[in-house]
Amino acid sequence: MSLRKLKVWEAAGLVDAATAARIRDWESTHASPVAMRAVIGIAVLAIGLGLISVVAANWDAVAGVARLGVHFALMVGLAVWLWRKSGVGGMAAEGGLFVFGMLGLTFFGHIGQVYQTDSPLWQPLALWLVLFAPAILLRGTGWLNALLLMVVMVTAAWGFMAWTVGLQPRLDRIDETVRIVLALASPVLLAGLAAWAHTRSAREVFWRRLGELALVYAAGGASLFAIASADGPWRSDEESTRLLWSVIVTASVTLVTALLVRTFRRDAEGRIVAILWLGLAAMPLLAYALSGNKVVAALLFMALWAGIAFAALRAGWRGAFQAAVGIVALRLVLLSFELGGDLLTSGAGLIASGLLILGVAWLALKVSKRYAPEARP
Amino acid sequence: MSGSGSTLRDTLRAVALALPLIGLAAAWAVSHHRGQQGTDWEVPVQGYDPRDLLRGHYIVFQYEWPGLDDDDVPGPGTMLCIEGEAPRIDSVEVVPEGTRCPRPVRAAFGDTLAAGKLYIPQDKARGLEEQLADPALRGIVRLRVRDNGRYTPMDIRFEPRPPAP
Repeated sequence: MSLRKLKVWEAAGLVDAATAARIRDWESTHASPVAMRAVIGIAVLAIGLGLISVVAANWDAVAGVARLGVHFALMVGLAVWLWRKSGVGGMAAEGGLFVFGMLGLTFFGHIGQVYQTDSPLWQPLALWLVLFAPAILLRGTGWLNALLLMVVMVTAAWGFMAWTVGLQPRLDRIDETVRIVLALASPVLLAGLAAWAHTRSAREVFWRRLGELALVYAAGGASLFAIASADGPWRSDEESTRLLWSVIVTASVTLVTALLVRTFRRDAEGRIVAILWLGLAAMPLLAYALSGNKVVAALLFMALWAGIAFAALRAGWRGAFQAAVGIVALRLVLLSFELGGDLLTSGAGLIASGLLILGVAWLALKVSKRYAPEARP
Repeated sequence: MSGSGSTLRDTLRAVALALPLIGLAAAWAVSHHRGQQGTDWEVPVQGYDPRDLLRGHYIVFQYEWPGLDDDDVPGPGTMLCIEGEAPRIDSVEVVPEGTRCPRPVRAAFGDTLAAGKLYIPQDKARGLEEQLADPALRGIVRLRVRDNGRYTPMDIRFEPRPPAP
């Protein structure tokens, strides 16, 4: 530490002379050779970076099997390290687990390069989920691994949909539609799992984040339903059977999640979350029933996010509340342009729309400042 | 928490770390095993799109199956039967999927027998691209075809294009 500050403190009477002397004494015997450590650190860093760049530059020249061997050995080493750290947890273990998962993801691509094999994206992702989800669910401690699991699951689901639709653009079989929608809705079920584990696990943060991510995904899906309901009406669409099945499957999976959350989380927050899930489950059904009207679709969208804002208010989620209020405000502004398409073509219209945007923004800001719950410590 | 419960949990947590390693090792072994099997055949190719021969790390091309006219492209629901002595293909015949023949070639599900791609190292990309675009050269892709007809492109080489008849 700097002893100059000590002199200043002594002069200001914050520490007496005897204490200052004792501090100086202690510092002189316990001083760590900072400069020396810095030099060693820089040297180690330089060697490490050098090694990485030498390997990277010659990576293509290394035989494929040897490359895969190095890749695999890294994963084995990381697994052993994680296993020995068992129970300690902390940031390092969380980061290590994330890197372990990423190395696993890239291993599939690496095999594809070496053996010139090729498969649709969702297949390796699905296999990854089978192999790595247990490790992440049993060892993840924070948002990083919760996010990794969620992103892979969502990407696999949408990749599966894109692949199936790409194979046969005319999906006329109902079971295929059901299978696709089940895959798309499946990440939502992680919230049920999270609710179950929430009280049974010491890794509360991980399960909380996983539940939140599932909620965000479901809110996004419900928003898509609300937005899509502007077209229609769906029941007179030539695809109405498929649309109805999509709606039923999505609503059912979300309803199951709501029931799971209700069953396993008995605290006050859990009740609010369960009601929110119930609202999300109703959205596809409402979208189907009310489809075909632009204004109704916009109102549906705003009702959804107003509901989310209300739930956030009751549960005390500051960030979520402010985001939801912002989204409602944005939709309101967009709606005004949709309704009065000529607002931008005249001077008076421009002024009116400018005032409207300012007004809505001011109101949203006011609401979100005035009523937002306190941030959690 | 009871002692046996935490032991069980520790075991599960250790198994959860071993599972990905076992699974990936198995996936690697399967790919390796498949990569070794099969008969190598040589198929002439031409660049898929002269302006776009490279796609990311892959070089893309169209197969010029010997004995097939341009409008005879093997479409969905069809497969090929090879006539010839490996690695030389004398001719191929387009037949409906499921036909029995001694040397079949089948596209992977959702894939096509008309075109293919090959992963290539970055430093070789430029040279290969130029060779594939050169009208005086003809690309030959070595396909490794397993007994069930599934195939993997192994590598590409070039030879002078024979004069047009």
